[in-house]
Amino acid sequence: MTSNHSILFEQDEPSSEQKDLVEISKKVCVEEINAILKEKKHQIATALKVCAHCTLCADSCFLYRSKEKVAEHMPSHKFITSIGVIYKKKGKVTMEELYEMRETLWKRCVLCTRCSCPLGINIPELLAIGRRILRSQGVYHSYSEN
Amino acid sequence: MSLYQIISGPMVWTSFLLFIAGTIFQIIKLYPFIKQSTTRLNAISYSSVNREKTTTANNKKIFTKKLFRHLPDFNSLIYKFAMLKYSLFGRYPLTIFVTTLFHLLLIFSPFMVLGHNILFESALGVSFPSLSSEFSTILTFIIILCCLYFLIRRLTVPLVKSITTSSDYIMLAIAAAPFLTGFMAHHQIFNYTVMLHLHILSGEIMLISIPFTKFIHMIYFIITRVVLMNNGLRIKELKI
Ligand code: SF4
Ligand code: SF4
Repeated sequence: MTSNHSILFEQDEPSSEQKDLVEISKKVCVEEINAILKEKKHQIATALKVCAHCTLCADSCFLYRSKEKVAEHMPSHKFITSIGVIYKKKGKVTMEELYEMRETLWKRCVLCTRCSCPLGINIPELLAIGRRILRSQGVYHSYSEN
Repeated sequence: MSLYQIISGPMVWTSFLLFIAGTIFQIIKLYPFIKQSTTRLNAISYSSVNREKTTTANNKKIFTKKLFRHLPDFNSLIYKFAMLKYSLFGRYPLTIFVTTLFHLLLIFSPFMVLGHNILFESALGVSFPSLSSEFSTILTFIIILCCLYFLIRRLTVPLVKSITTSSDYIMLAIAAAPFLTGFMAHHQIFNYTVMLHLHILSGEIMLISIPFTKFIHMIYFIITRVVLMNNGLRIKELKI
């Protein structure tokens, strides 16, 4: 019985891509996102205003230094393309966009808080806010795949 | 009233007033955030200072005892000099040199131009020490070169290109315009009167835009970097 059950279970279990497709068709709750944005408004607005797009934070991220030195691994690129986009669109983002941001916020950052910005922007905090917004919509990195 | 009288009279005062009022407004707007962050960061700063004390002491003991007994003290100049290559200056020497020079000159050189000091004297009764005309010209030229460096960097380095928006170019143009027009007016390149008008106008535009655009990093930089000490703490931690 148990073996049968496990076979059935394995067959019924959708692959991660299928799961993502189902998830993408869901609707984003703008009010929920805006509630978090409102709470953290000062942090996000100040950071986006202050960031001079100077790219001096790139070398402070160990992922940038150890992986291919591509823009996607630069701390400022990470927060501008995730939380920056959500803030500028006032929470009106699509599920697809949130799934793209998931890659940035989980796979390209481990929230080690090593990165530093000469202007004093707290980049990890912004990325953590981004993760919180994504989690509120049920979008997060799943560790169960392997 | 002629155009010159308007832009060199009431408009100068208006832009100074807008600059000061805007700066105060932006600082007041940020006050709740400063309060919230300093109280929260205090907790972090205590723990990190303690951690720094203990770990640095331990690390030093272990290192000096076991491996580097023959090396000089870790706080010595040699050690600090060796650590320089891990600093921002060590990583990006040219960019840090150009940025520092650019920002210092951008803020201080306008106060040291003879023409400006004559205006200060007549309007406020105070003036600053003036530089010679040749030296001001050299400084202005350096600022224009720095702006060119930033422009070329924005246009060519892929990393910088990836986060550059049109507003960055506009900011660069606003910052460079007063110096470029001042340089051209002083050397009578093109038409002196037109250049002088443009010089005054661009200076006013820059002053007004400081509190309301990305130039706000001039003011917020002090708050984010010094008051919140967020980054300063992390630099301390890095030295552990
Ligand atoms: S986060 Fe800081 S270091 Fe990075 S691009 Fe923005 S201002 Fe420059
Ligand atoms: S917190 Fe993220 S962005 Fe910052 S250094 Fe760590 S991995 Fe890089």
